Amino acid sequence: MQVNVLIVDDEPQNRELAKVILFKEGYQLYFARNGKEALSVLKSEKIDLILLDLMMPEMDGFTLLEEMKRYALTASKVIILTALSDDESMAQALRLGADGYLQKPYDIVDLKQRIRFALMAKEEESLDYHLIIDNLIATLDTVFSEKVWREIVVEFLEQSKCTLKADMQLLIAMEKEVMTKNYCFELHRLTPSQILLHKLILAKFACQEQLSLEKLSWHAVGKFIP
Amino acid sequence: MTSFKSQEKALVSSFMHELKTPLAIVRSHLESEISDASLDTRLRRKLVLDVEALARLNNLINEMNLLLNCEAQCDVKNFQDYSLLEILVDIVELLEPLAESKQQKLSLVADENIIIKMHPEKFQQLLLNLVSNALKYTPEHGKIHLSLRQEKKTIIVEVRDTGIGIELLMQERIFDPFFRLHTKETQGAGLGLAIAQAIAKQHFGEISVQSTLGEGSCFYLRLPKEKVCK
Repeated sequence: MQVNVLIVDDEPQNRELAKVILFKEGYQLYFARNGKEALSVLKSEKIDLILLDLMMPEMDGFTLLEEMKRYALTASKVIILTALSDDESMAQALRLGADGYLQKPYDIVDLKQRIRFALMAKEEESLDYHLIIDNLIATLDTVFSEKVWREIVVEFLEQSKCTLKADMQLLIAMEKEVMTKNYCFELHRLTPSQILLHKLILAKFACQEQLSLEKLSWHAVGKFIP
Repeated sequence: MTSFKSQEKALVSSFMHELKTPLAIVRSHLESEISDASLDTRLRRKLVLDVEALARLNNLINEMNLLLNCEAQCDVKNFQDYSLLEILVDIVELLEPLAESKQQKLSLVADENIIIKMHPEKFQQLLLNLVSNALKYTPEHGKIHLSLRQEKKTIIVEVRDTGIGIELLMQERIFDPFFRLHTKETQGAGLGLAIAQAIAKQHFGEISVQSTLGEGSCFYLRLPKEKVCK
């Protein structure tokens, strides 16, 4: 399946940089010099992912995010690439629907991982949520057979009643509290349901006091993830 | 750096060439013996070790040839415009699984795409040698950071690691052919940095190092813009 990526930046050298980084990934690349041009691309093409600068002439990145909501063009994943480093800009962009935020000059390895992750998440969001839960429970059944554990999972998922994206953000927030940065870095490789599954397994281990959360390494639980 | 004079170079080169053929013949005989199902297990194990030793010798000859080749006069006519960033992105892609297996964090930052006149395969070899060295001499959970930037007159590629570092006295010698540190811990003929430096010089540039023992190293590749950007 073809993946369409839109690069929005007023600086030609930044568009060129993104192009060199991504062209071997096999994505179809589109370019826009500001929010206005990006909006016009979004209205005519099915864009899977946007790499978006915030400070641009004519229409900036924040306004583009607002306009995307207004025109219900929210199917694309959005990763912000900006020189703005203040928390308020980041919070505002995330509030307006951005999925990721990287400060320039960004780590290219990190960007590529985030893109892969965002695209996986997008693919998963298009699936039926209940189907994902059923799959998760089926997987957990093969890992832990106890009925009690299954009930905990069902209850957890029923109570959460939120989208996978929100789950993911919540889980990543929790992760940051207890885990090392190195571990958070690994999270970007997983889809939301894998993170959820991972988190549930982690919780189970912690509950049983087999290991403290800090000591629980990625590899200790990694093997349970399909 | 110890360099070969042209007569010596021609001699060594033809000697290397003469070595390769008998090596290949012996290796092929050994491999054919190994594939014999009736062969005694202990003997097979010995033969496998012999084949591995021959493979190492073959690699050494290839590397020596590469070094001789890189020390040759550079033929600027064969250079082409090529993106330095593209080479770095490819190298990161290539070495990421290795870094991952050592749980190392590999990162790359570039201000912009920089295109220079180069021999792409050789340049890739240069950067591959620098980055794979950084991975090799950096312990698990360490960091290897690559950056590409330009100053007024110079293009700079930086390969920084949180590895074991190099003693000050040894820093001058690490670009000499066959010079090796930490021979017990790591394998190799000690030609990687000599090859990298030779390729850098072919491109009018130079590699230098700053390092603190126990803290890490930073290799700088500096290329003069007036020569490589035209």
